[in-house]
Amino acid sequence: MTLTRFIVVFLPFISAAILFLGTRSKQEDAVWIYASIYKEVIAELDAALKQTHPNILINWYQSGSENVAARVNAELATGATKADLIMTSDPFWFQELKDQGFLMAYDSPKASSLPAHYRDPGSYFLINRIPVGVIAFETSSISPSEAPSNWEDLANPRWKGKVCMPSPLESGTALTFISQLVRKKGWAFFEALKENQLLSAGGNSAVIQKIETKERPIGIVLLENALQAKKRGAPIQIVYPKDGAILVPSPIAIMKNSTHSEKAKTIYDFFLSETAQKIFLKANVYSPFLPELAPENAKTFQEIQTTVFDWDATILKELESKKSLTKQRFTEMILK
Amino acid sequence: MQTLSQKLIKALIGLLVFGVCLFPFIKMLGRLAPQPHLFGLVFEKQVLESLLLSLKVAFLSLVLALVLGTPASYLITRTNIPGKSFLRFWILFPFFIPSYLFAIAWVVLALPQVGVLNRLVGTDWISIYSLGGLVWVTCNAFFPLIITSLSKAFSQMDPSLEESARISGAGPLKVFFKVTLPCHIPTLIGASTIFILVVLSSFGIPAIIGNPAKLYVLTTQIYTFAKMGGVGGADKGFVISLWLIGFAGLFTGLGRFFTRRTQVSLIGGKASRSSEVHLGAWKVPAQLFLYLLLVIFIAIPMGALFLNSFLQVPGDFKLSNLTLSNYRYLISLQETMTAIGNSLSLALLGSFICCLLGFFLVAFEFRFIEKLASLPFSIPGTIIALSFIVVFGKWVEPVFLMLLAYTAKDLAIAVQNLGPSMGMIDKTIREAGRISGAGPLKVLDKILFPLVTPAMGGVFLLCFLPMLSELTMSVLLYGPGSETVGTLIFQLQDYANPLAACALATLLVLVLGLGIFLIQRLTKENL
Repeated sequence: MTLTRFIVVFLPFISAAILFLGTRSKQEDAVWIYASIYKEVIAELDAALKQTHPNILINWYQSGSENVAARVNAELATGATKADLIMTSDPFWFQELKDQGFLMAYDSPKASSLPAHYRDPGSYFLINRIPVGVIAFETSSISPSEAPSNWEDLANPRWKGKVCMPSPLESGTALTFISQLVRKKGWAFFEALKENQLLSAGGNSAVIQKIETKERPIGIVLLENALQAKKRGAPIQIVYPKDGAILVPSPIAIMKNSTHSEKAKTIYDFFLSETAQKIFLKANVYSPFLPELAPENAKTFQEIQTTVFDWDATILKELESKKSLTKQRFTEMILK
Repeated sequence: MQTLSQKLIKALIGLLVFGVCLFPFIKMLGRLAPQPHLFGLVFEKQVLESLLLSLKVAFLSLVLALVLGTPASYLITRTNIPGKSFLRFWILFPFFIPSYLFAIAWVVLALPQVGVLNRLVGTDWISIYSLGGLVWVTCNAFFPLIITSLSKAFSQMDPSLEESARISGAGPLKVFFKVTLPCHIPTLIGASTIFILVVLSSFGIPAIIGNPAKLYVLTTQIYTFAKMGGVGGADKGFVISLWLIGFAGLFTGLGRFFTRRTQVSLIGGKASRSSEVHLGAWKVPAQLFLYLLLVIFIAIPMGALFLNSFLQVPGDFKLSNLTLSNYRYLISLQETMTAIGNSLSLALLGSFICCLLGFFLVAFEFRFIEKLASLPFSIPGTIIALSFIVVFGKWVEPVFLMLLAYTAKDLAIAVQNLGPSMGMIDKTIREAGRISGAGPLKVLDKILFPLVTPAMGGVFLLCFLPMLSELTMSVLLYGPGSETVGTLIFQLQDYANPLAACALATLLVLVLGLGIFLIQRLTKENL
C-alpha cells in the first residue's frame, strides 16, 4: 500500500472521527446542566424536557455532589465553566458560589408558592427538592421493638460496632447530616458515637449495602436509598427519628456567565413545575412545592415536617461558615 | 539534496513532536520554578506516606510476579510443554486488558464479607480492600510485562550453555537454577524496572481498590489534588508527581546499567537453534501450574466480570438472579454512546497520527527527534495530563487535549516498531528510486511506505487498543461531553452503578479480545 493510498483509505474514517469529536464538544446552542441526580432520574427528566421544550438542546453532566463541585471549581479557575444550570445536594456549595459572585439572580414566577425559608434572600438559588436523612436497620438481626427510635439511641452502648453512616469526604449529604447533628446535639454526640465505633465510609448506597449484609445493621442514611432497597425486597425498616429527620435541602441555580440565560431560565422553571416535582417524588425525594404528597411507602412531607431539624437561610449561612472546620474535626475524630 | 517541500515537512514534524513531547514539560517546570513554596509539598507527611505505599505495592507485587512469571516464561519458551502457542496466547492476554478491569473483577470476587470467595469458602475475612488485595490485583494485571521480556530473552539465549551443563550431568532443575537463571539476571532486572515503573504510574487499581481501603498511593493522591482545585490543584499535583519522574529516571538508569553490562556475554552472535528442554516427569506439574495460572489470573476474573454483568444483586450467581437490566441501563444512558463514540474516534485518530508521524520520523532518519518522540512513553500519564491541562487547557477542548496526550504517549510505540522494519531496507533501494527520477517524497510514498506496510497493521493496533481503554490520563482530562469508555466505567464503578460498569467492561473485553487476536495474526510473533 502506498502512503497516499493509506491516507485515502483512512480519510473517511478520520473525518468522521474529527466531526464526531468536534460536534460533541462544540454544541454552541446546547444548555449544560451539571447535576448530582441519579442517572435513571435524569433519563426521566430528560424525556419530560424533550416533550415540553422540544426546541431546547440539553446536555447533562452527572456525577456525585463533590465531583460536580470539583469540576465547576476547576473550570472556573481555568476560565469559564460550561455549566448553565447546576443542581446538587450540597447547599453549602451554592452559598459559597453566591458569595463569590458566580451565580445569577433569578426571581422565578414559579417560586412564589415555595415557603420563604427554602429561598435564597437574593434569589440566587432556591431549594427545589429535599432528600431526607433517617435511620434504617436490618430486621433479621434487630427487632423493631428494640430498634433505636431517636438519634441519641445510636450512642447507646448496646449498639457498639453496629452503626454506620456515609463519609463526608465522598458524599455531600453526609456533611449536612453531620453539620445538623452537631448544631443540635453538639460534638459530644459524635464523641459518644466514636465510643460506639461509628463507621463512616462511602456514599449512601454503600451504607445500605453494609446494613443489608449486617456488617453494620444500623445506619444513618437517605430515605430514598432505604426505600429503594426495601422495594427490591431487602429486609430493611425505616425509622423517622422522634427528635427529627434531617433535611438535605438541594438547590438549583443558574450560573452568572451562562451564555443561554433565557433558555436556562425556562429550564429552571421546568424543574419547579409539577411534572418535574412528581418525577423527584417518584425517585423518593420530597418536593417542597407539593408537601401533601409522599414517595411510595413513606410519610408525606407535611407529616415529617412537624419534627424535622430547622432550616432557613441563616442556618445555611451559619453551617456554611463552619463547613471546613466541621469536616476537619469529623475527619480527625472518626476517620483517623 | 532536499527539496523545499521535504524541508517543510521535516520542520513541521520536528515542531509538532517538540510541541507535544517536550515543550509542555519544560513550560510546566518553568511555571513552577518561581513558586518555591509549592515544592515543600514534596516532603509533606501525607505525600511521603503515599510514596511509601506506592513503593511497597510495586515491590511486593513485583516479587509475586517474578515468582510466578519466571517459571511460566521459561516453560512456554524453552520446554516441550504441549499446547505452547495456546498457553502463550492466553498468558499474554492480560497485556492489553486495562488494569482497572481486573480491579473491578476482583472487587466482585473478594468484597469483604459478601464477596463470591467468602461465600464459597464460608469465611468472612477475605477482603480485596487491603494491602494484600492491592498487591494481588496489581500482580494479576501487570505480570504479562515480566513474561513478555523474559520469554523474549529465554528464546534468544544461546542454548549451548545449557547443553554443556546438561552433558556434564546436571538435571533440568539444576540447569535452570545454576545456568539459565544466573544468565538472565540482567533481563530480570530490566523487566523488573519496567514493571515497577508501570505500577508506580498506574491509576485504575489503586483508585478502585485502594481508596475504599483508605490506602492512597501517589497517583490517587495526585488525582485528588488535581480534582479539587483548578490550576492551583494541577500545579500541586505536578509537584507531587516529581516523585514519579524521579523514580522513573532512577529505575530507567538502573535498568540500563545492568542490561548494558551483561548483554554481550549472554547471547552469542552465532545463529543458534534453541533446543527444547525435555520436561520428563515434570511435564504434568508444569502443565498444572500453567493452567492454574490461566484459571486464576484470566478465567476467574474475566468470568466474574462477564457473569456479574448479567446479575441483579452483585456476586449472587443463581438463575433467578439473571437479568439484562444492566445492559438496558447502559443503553438508556446518554453518556454511553458519547463515550463509545469518543473512545473510538480518539483511538482511531490517535493511532493514525502515531502511524503517520512514526513513519515520517523513521523514514527521514530523524535521530534526535525520534528520541524526543520516545520521551513521553516513559513519563507517567498523570504528569502528561497535568502539563497538558495547564499549558494547552485554555485553548484546546478537553477531547482534543486527550487526543494530543494519547498521541504523545504512544508515539514511541510507532517509532520503536517501525524503526527495525525501516532499518532492514537497504539504502540502495531508495537510491534506485531516486535514480529512476522520483523525488524524495515520491520515494517515501511509492517505495518505503509499501515496504513497511506489513508492520503498519500491527503498529496501528498496538496504539489503538491502549487508547481505546485509556484511563490514567483521561480521568484528569475529561469533562462534560468528553467522557470515554474508561472514564465512564470508572464513574459507574465508583459512584452510580457497579453492575453497569461490569456490563460495559464486558463489551470492552470482547472488543479488545478481537484486537489481540488480530495483533497476534498480524505480527506473527508474540507481542
